[in-house]
Amino acid sequence: MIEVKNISKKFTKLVGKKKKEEFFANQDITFTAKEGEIVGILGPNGAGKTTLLRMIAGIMTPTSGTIEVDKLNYQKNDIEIKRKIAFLTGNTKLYRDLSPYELLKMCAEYYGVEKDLIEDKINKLSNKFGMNSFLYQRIGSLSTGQTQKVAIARCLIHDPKYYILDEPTSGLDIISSKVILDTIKEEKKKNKCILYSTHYMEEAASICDKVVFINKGKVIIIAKPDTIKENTKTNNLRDAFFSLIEGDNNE
Amino acid sequence: MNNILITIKKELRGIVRDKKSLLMMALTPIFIPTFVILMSYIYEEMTTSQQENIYKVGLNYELTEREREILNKDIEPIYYDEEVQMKDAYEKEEISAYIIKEENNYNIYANSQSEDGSIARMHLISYLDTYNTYLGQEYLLDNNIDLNRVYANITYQTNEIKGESIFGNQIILMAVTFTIMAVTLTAIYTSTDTTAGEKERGTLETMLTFPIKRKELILGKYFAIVISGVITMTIGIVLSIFSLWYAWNNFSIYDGTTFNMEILTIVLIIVVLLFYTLFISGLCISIASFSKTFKEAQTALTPISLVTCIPMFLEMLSINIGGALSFIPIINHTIVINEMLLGNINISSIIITIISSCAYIVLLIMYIVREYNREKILFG
Repeated sequence: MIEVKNISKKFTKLVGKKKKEEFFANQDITFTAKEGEIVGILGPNGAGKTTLLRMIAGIMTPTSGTIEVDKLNYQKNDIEIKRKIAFLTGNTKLYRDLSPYELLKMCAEYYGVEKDLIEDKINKLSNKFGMNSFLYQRIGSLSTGQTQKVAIARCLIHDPKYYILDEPTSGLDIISSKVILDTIKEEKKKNKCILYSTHYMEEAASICDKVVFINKGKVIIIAKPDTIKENTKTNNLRDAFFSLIEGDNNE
Repeated sequence: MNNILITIKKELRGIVRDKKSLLMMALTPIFIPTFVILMSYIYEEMTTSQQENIYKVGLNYELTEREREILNKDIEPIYYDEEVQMKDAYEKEEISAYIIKEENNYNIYANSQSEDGSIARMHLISYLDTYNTYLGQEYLLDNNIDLNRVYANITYQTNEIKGESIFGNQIILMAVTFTIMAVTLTAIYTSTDTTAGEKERGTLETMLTFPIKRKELILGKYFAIVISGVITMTIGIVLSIFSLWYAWNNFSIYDGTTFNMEILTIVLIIVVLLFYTLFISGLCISIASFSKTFKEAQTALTPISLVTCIPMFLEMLSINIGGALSFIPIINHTIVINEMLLGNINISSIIITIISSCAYIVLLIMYIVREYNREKILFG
C-alpha cells in the first residue's frame, strides 16, 4: 500500500528581476492507494499533480510529510521502494540511440531481474505489444505509437507492484491510448496498484476506483467517481471538477 | 557496483553511436600526425630557405673587384644610374636594401624590422666594415707598417656546438599540447552529452526512477567519460609517438633534439595522461551538470579547451614551471610530459603532478556526488 501523509513541496520562483518568492506546489496532501486499486489524480494544469507523482516515485523529496510504500520510506529504503514501482509519463523520453531490445534489457538489469529470465520477459512483452517488427531498430526511428509501446513495456519488465502514470495517454491517438488503458486494466486484475493522473475525465471515470482532486496544490476531495458525481449533483466528472474548483476558488 | 557498470555500458553505447561524439573521440587525435609532419616540413623549409636566400641590393656605384670579393655571396648587387630608379625598385620590392655613395660616404637604406631588410643590412654593414679595414691595410702596407702589429694582437675562432633545436622542441611541445587538447575535447563533448544532453532530451527523469543511487548514476557517467578520454588518449599517444619518430628521423630541424622513446618514459607518460583524463573528466562533468541544455554546457566548457594552450605558451616564453605552478593542473601535466619526451625525467615533478591530480580528482568527485543529490541540479 502507498501511504501519502501530509506531504508538502515548496519551491522558489523568481519574481521580477531579482526577487525570489517561495510557493507550495503541494500542500498537506494525504491519501492512500491499495493493491488492486486505480487511484486517479485529477486537477488542472499547474495543480501540482506531476510534482506529487514525482515525489511518490522518489524522484523528488517532499519538503515535509512522509511517503510510505509497503511501510518502507525513501529516507531509508529508496532502492527497495523503486524496485516495486514503475513510473511513466506522457512525455517520457527514451534513449534514441538504443533499440527497444537494448532498452528493455538495460531496464531489467537495473531492476535486478534474473539474467536467465530477461530474454524470456523481453520476448513476452514484444509479443504482447506487437514490437517484434521493430525490436532491434533504434528508438529514434520509431513512430510515437511504437515509442509509447516501448515505454509501457519498459514499465512492465520488472513486474512492479505499483504503477505511477502521469498523463500516459496525453497526445496519443485512440489506438495507442487503448493499449495503455488495456494494460492498466490487466494490471489491476493482477492486484496491482495504479496511481493515474489524466486530463481526460471520461477516461478517469471509466477506470478509476478512487479519485483525488487537486487544485492549487491542495486536495479538494478524495472519493469514488460516483460519489463525487452524487455529492456535486452532476452527471460526469468534468462538471463535478468545475463545480468543485468553483467552490474552492470561492473559498 | 553493478549499477555503475550498467550505467557505464549505457553511456558508452550512446557515445559510440553518436557520430559527433565518435568523431571527437577518434578523429581529433588524427590531426596530431598531420600537424607534426606539416609543421616539421614548414620549419624545415623556413630554415633551408633562410640559408639559401639571395638578397638583392641596389647600388649607385660600380663595385671594385676587391669589393666583389668582400661582399657576401648571399648579396646580389644591382646597379642603378639614378637614385630615383633605386628608390622605385625598393618600393616595388625588387631589392631588399640599397646604398647611396657620395664620394667616400656610404648611406645604407633598409627596413631593419623586415626579415629580408635586416639580413641585407647586416651583410652590407659587414661588407663596408671589411672594405674599410681593407683600405686601411692598403695604406699601412704603402707606408711599410707591419699589419700584424696593428690587426693580429688577438686571434679568435667560432665553433658550432650541437644543442637543442628550438623548432624540434616546439613541435614536440605542440604534439603534447594537441594530445592533451584531444582528451579535453572528448571530455567536454561526452560530459556535455551525458549530463546536460540527458536533461535536454528528457531521459534523466526516466533514469531517476530506476533503483539506482544518484552516486552510482553520476559515477557511471564519470567513468564512461574517463573511458572515452582514455580511448582518445591512447590514439593520441600512439599517433604522437609515431609521427614524432618519423619526423625526428626525416627532418634536419630535429638535429640535436633528444627524443626519449624508452619504455619507461612511455609508461610514465601514459600514467600522467591517465591522471589528466581522470581530472579533466571530473572537471567537465562538474561544470556540465549545472547546465540545462547542451548548448549552455558547451558555452561553459569551451574556455577549458583554450586553457590547454597556456602551458605551451609558458614553455615557449621560457617561463620556469616550478613552485606553485607545478601544482596547477593542465600546466603541470603538459610540462611534465613534454620534459619526459625531451629526456628530462624529473621524478619529483611527476610525483607532485600525480599527487595533486589525485587530490583534485577526489575533491571533484565528492563535489559532483553531493551536487547530483540536489533537485536544483537535476530539474533546474
